[in-house]
Amino acid sequence: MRLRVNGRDEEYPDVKTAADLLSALDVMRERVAVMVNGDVVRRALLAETPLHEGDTVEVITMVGGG
Amino acid sequence: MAETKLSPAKGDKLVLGGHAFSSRLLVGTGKYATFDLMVEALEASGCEVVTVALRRVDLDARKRGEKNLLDYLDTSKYTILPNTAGCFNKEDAIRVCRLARELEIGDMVKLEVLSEQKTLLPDPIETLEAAKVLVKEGFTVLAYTSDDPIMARKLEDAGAAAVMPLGSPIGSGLGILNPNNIAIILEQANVPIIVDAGVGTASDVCVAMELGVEGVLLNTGIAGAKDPVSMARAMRQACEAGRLAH
Repeated sequence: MRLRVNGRDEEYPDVKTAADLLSALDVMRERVAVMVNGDVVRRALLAETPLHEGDTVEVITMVGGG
Repeated sequence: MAETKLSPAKGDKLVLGGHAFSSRLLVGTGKYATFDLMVEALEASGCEVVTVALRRVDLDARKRGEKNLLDYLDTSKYTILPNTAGCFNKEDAIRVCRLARELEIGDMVKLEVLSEQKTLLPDPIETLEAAKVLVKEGFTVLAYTSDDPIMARKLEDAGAAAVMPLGSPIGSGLGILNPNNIAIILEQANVPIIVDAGVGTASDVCVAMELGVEGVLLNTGIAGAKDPVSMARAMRQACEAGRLAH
């Protein structure tokens, strides 16, 4: 399905849930927090959060800051 | 010299959100020339709490195999304090804190809501309104604010676990511009007061601690120094000296 991830529209075949997306992006679950369509996803529910065509996903991590 | 109502805890620890820290220096992870330098500087500072910002994963960088902060920062060694840097309104700050919660590194957050990019001065209204919501949602809020004693009191009344008045604007290195205001804040405070922002060099840290603050948070002062590792070491000593002198 087509998803907007971190501002970019891409095709993600084989992705059904937020957890699937993190695997597809090769991103470690322990290092990120996820929003789908503006809603923060509880980490424990990543595998139970379905994604739909056209969803906007933000994958957020820790970076340097003061 | 204003007297603080807070008496040093046993072993003189900085107590924040139920955690007791021996180091009263909180150091940022931004603006270092390299991650290796950051690791060395943090070690030299003796800090136990480090701040981080939250941003989108750089997916292109990942594809290129580039390393990022978490490849260098030992998250088992430090207490991570996520900030809401980059937020200019309460809604964004609240959202960032809810995201930070899902990183499962604890409920402590540095609330920072800025008014404008030019001066980087905090927006007092947005900060206070965000603090009220976040406290209700169970966060341990360390609230970054101006050196206005009235705002400091309002943030404390709103339930902030610590109030963090600036010494001077972020990154300015101007030190403690209004020690009298910091003294007034200390006199009335019932929560830890931590000077955050504007610290330029070691003596600024010492001055802040001598006034009686519970801790000092800084980033540019170390990361922007010619020799960050030496400056970190200097600030560690300055922090201890100021505490002893107080």
